[in-house]
Amino acid sequence: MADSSAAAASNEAPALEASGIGKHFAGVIALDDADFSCRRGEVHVLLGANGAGKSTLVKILCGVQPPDAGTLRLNGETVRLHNPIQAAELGVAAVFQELSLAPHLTVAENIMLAHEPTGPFGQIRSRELRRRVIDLFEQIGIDHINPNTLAGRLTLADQQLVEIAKALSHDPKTLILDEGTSALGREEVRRLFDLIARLRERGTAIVFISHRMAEVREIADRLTVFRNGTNVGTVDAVDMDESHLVELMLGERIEQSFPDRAPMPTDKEPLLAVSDLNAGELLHDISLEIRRGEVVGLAGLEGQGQGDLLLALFGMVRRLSGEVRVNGKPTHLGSPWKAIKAGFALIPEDRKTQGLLQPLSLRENIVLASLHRLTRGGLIDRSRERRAAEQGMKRLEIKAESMETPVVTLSGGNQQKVVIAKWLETGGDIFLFYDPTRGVDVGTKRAFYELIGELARAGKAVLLYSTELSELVGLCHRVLVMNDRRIAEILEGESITENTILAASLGVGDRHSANTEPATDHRKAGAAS
Amino acid sequence: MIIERYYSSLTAMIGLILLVILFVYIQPLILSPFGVTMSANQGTTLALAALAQLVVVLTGGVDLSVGAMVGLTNAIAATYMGSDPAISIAVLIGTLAAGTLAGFLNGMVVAYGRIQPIIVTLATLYIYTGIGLVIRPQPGGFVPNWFANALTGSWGYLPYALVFLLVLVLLAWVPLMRSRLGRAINAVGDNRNGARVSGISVARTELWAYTAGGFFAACAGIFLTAQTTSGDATIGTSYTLNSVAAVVFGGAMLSGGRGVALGPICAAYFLSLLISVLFASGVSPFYQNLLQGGVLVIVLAAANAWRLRTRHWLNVMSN
Repeated sequence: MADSSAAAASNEAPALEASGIGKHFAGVIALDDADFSCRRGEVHVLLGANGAGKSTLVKILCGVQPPDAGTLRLNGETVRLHNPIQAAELGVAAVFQELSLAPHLTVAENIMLAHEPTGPFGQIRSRELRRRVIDLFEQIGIDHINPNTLAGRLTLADQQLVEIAKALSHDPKTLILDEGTSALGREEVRRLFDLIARLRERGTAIVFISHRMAEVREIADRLTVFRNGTNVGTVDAVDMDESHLVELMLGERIEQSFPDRAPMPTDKEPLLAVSDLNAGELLHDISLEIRRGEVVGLAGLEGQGQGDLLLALFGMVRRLSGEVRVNGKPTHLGSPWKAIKAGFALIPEDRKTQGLLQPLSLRENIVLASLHRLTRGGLIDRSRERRAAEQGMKRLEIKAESMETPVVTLSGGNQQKVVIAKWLETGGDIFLFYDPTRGVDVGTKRAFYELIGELARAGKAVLLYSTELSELVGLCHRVLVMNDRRIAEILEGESITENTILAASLGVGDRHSANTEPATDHRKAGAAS
Repeated sequence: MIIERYYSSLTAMIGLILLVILFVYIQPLILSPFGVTMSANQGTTLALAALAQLVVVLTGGVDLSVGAMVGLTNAIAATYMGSDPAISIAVLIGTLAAGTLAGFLNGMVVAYGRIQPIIVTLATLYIYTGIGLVIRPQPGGFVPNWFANALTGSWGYLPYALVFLLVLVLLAWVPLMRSRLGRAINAVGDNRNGARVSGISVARTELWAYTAGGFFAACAGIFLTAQTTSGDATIGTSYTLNSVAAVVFGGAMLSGGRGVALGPICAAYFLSLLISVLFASGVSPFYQNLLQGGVLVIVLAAANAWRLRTRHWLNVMSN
């Protein structure tokens, strides 16, 4: 894809060029002498493990943070960016990893935030504002979002689309997408890529950050890998070699993408048996069984009830009907507290707000859900608490200075381990994973897969909802595919492939006809390298 | 106009209407020009104080000095107005400026000193009350009759107080909220980091929000001066927490980002009318506080009951 237009463009100055960028936060070096450039009409993918400095670079490129060192050139001219609006005026707009929408403002108000059209008295011209947003939506092919809806009412995927529209509202010459597709379903990613292709033709420079290799493979013209805050290599997409890239990202060779699958469970009796679970418009007639040591996947297109099923099992959904048995005993799931006592553990969607108390220490987080077992005379027994935290840290090999370190300072992977340590401490038996590797780098993912395997080997039951098909293929004994908030199909053993899962998700009768994406068996690809 | 935003005001509106009906039932005489005017006058200071509080709460902050600024501006106005109309008007403008400056100082410390708003405004509460006491150690002062009448009189059933409030809302509140600053105030309270990466200066937005709060508190102080025809630096105390109550009852979220003027204004009149209703129904003054608090809790609980209908606990908590 590094075609003649890109070659021609290389003669002129790049749309965006950063050289020698340095940035540190409170002693931690985020970027160190980093170089990066993006030409006009090029999709330049930025890769790197979590903490490699990608997001910091993005923040510097679009004026959110000033660099400590280095220069920034736009179309050959050196600039200093003071704030995102100035950057947007100079033609750089970004879609951030963490959504920047204000939930109580409307979609239109969010898109035009801080650059609203105003009249002679400084009043915002609402009609003009709305008209511009409608035009914009038409241009980029969004037709299902009402500009007058409050942004907080939209699904995560739609919010991400709005976020992209917001960046495009500045008509940027350089568009930066930091994890811009992490919440999008396949269909939406498809549409976004069409849009990116159109922008590329118009000469827009596009910086694209993603952890989904399939996407990267599809869209990249050039790739740059960051590690430890600096550029460790830039290659043309035609020369792309995935295992080489992964190697660059990690700085070491990874043998295989997935660990060995946990052995097939030997138990006959299910640990968790759900029959005819209904929850109004959220879930219909859900029946499923999971045995000890079994890893069951939950698949389907975005928003088919997978998340709600996990939340329902964790007591977060009210007025359920149907029967839930744990170890054969009927269990009432009225609240998370009851679910925890029944042995459920939820590794939630949003680690930052639902999984951890960020400013508190490792110790406090690990024992949080087990405090009732660690009290003596109504007070928390400090020594038992410390022992529990120590045990959790050792068991999951959590790397931290001490158990008093605030979890906010840990890496994403270690934070995720803290969440799991918390549930191991409660004595949880049924682990519900809510898309745990979203926006997580390759190395951390790998560690995570091993953890899931270990949980299964330790006799836990695992229900894994994931938006990444390769994960379900690589880890699960069975995969339940959901469609329209009911379980549409159950895949088992050899019949679990990305193609069959996708076909079942789409409700395609013939499983072999789904060729939306070339089948990639990550184990095989890994083994070959 | 996004109608959905006004849903949060419904509780206070319905509450106010029901309370008025109850009041008329207990004491039909309030349906006279005098009764209506008196009721309106009683609530308008709190309504203005609620606007002062709301603009700050929208950014996700809180202003504990609202009552102190009301008292300070009340003391300034009643002390210096005198009987010469030209001087009186100059003093009124000066009073507005003083309140606005007080809000500006709050904003400077909160926005650029990066100190928690609750602490900053607790400190300035004492400072502003202290300045007020220096200006006017004892309650008193002189307030010209024409001025008192201009704000507290009525055309038949239409109290000037409501006209004063309406004019302020239309000439100050609405333009503020329709400006980029107003949009920024909402955005900052709704998603602080999001606002920042969208290019909004969070500090500058906070500064001007607190300044606007000072302006509305000064308006409340000026109205209070006309209503009581005297000055008292410590009279504002009750307005601080009542303004917070009005803002919450009026549907705004204390975490910021949500709230329109309609709700808190209705809630302010509800709270002030409630006292009159309790009085009119012959409740012993000893029980008034108890009942006032009880009614508030019940009304707020009832208003939020619908939230429990949602299926997700997550929604219950995030609303």
